[in-house]
Amino acid sequence: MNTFDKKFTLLWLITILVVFLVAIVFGLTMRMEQADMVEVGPLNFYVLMTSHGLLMAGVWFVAGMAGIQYILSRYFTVPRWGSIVAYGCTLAGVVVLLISTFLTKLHAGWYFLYPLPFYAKGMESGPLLFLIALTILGVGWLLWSLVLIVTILRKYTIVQALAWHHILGRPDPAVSPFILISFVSLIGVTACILAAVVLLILYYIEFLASGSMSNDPLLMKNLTFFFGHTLVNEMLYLGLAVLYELFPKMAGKPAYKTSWYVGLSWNATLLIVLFAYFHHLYMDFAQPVAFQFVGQIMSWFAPLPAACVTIFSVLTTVYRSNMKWSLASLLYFFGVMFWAVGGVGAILDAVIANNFVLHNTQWVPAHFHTYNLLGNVFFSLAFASWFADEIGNKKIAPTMVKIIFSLLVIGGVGFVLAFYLGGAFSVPRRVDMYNEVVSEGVSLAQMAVVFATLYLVGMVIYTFDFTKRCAGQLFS
Amino acid sequence: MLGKIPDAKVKTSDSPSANLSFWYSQKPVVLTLVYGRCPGVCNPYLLQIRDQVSLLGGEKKFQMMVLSFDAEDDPGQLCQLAGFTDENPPPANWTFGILEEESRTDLMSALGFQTQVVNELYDHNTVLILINKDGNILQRIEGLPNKGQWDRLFKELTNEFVPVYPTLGSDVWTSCFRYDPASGNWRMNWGLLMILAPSVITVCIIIILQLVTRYERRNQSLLIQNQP
Amino acid sequence: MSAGAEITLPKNEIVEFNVSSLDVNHGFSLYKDGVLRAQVQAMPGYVNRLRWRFSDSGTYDILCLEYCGVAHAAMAAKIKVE
Repeated sequence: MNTFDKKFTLLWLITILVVFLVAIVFGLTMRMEQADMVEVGPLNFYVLMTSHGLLMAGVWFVAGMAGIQYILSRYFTVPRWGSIVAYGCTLAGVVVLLISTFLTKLHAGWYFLYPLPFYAKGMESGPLLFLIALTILGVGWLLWSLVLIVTILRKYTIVQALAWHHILGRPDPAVSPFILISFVSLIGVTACILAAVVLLILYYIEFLASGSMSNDPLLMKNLTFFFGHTLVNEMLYLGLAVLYELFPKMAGKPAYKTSWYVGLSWNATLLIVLFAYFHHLYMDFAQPVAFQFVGQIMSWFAPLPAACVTIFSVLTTVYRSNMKWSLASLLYFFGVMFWAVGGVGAILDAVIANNFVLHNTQWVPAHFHTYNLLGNVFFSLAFASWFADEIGNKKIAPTMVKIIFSLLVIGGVGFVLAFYLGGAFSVPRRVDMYNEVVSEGVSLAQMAVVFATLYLVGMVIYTFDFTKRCAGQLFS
Repeated sequence: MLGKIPDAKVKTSDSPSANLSFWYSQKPVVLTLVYGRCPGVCNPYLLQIRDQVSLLGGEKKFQMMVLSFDAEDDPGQLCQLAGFTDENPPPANWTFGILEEESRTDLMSALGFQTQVVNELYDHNTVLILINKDGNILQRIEGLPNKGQWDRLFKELTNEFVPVYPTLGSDVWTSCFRYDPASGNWRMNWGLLMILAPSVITVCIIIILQLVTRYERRNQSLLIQNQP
Repeated sequence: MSAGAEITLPKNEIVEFNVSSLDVNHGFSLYKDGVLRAQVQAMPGYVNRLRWRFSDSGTYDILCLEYCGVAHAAMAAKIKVE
């Protein structure tokens, strides 16, 4: 590893933390609007919603990629240009995105479900700018993903990187779980970004055809969720790949090996995660029935390989270990546990009969905020913490660990609990105000504001501490 | 919808009095109401239905029943309203009959069929009804069915509930599947390629990258071998 | 159906809703006493058929459950079941 890798990872992490804070403020403002604490109006609410969702998905995706890049660079020479191009494209894409939302008032939501981008706009240039933003992000991220894949393939063949020999019981060459999970995730990332490419091409064709061509809304919805759902799953797995590398060392235990069941489970995940997105279309009767059944089966299988194996590994690692609980190890351990909780919420919603009364209620943001706020974000913050301890001037103070961890957990749990209760009370998602039918939404939003504020304070402290300890390294 | 159709009494050229259940208990029935003296919609309506039904085929799957609500009509002559003659007789699954007076009011009311006497003739609406083998009304289409309604009607003939039907225009070529009413099957369309393409292209990219890196490794090892 | 029209449906009988959209995706949902009872997506270019038997009489609220633009939260109607 060279100085560039350290500095560029540091640059990524600082950028990610700052953008995360901005995105949290967007989300907090939304909840405050729903709680009748502020009045931004429906247009601005949905502008915030569009920006918040896309920023969050993007930021934590690049966080996962930055973690992979850094750990890979400890073993291999990773070409720099992938990360540099991705950084530039991410910044440019975010700027264009925010111009399309805040300036031109595009408010199509972070799902941008066709044909809404052509309707939910302020200025006429909004949809085109939005598409351009996504294009810039997609190009940068796709190139980065391919660069990392090539890095792995320079050392291992496809079959070796997928650890098929380990599944068959052969020990050589030794492929760590980090390599296996990274490779599996990067393949999924490539596939879902290519789905976004197809989606964007169809959007551009319709935009340029000026009314003489229409897309099939069902196909567009399939492509949107193939891209979006798969991306947010893969970004979680990117964070997990780094966990597999770092967590055993934190516990003073030997590195994880790729046993046959670890190999089998992550190979299964590679396929399962590509089909699980069907569960977003249960309430679209136009979707072929076979796809609905596949969606439910795959959604139920999805947690089994990745989650069960990881939870088992983490628990056995901690059991009777010399774990010195640091912020990093705490975030990793609890991140896995909360990820499991989010998974239960997801599985419940993925049952077609349940989805009939949960779809598009707040149960949906409940489960994915659990996955993200308390799962994926914890994984990436754990990596950042560990990274800061590695390269920083000094270690984080124990009191600071307690404050940050408490604020994040209490704030995060309270925040998602408000969503779960909302889902149980059939409160719809994505509304800027609650009418008399679902008036419980207001008090739940007020509850969410309190806890989101705690989480935000925790993140501000975290960011401040991280920057104080490490920022100097950028310029040394 | 899904109510039971009254088991009306019907007179046909083969039978002086039979119940409607005699037909629908054997096969699903597609039913419409007309009258022979109609100077207006009945004749063109039946001609269009005849043409559509003959295009869509599936004669064995259903019974087409054309019933007159006018006691003056003759069941043997009624087929002429649908353009059938002695030289061009109706297919075996077509039945023409007259509704008996005692059943007329109940049936017309159940089907939402309205008539009004105007100068000794009737002004009326047109309905097409799908009845299953249990006598339940599965579909009721006011006026002439459009393409989507025909598709749905024929799918449900075999008691298969159709949860959705498309109304996409001809400018949409990106669907994954297109329903072909002639065969009753779903045909694959361009959209399926677009859904499959990302995964297929990904696999190809990974294989190509593997080949490229292998080629690089081979060149590197040759370079090392050839160094003095 | 506009929000102002009054529609009365029969109790304990199967009612079929043919749901589609003229512009963007919407979500047709039936609420009774603040509890979601049934829903189906309204996708432009498709007609989704939802069959539902109302077991309770009273007033049901119809809310749009799929984000459809700035008026999404206000997209609501009522029907009666007797």
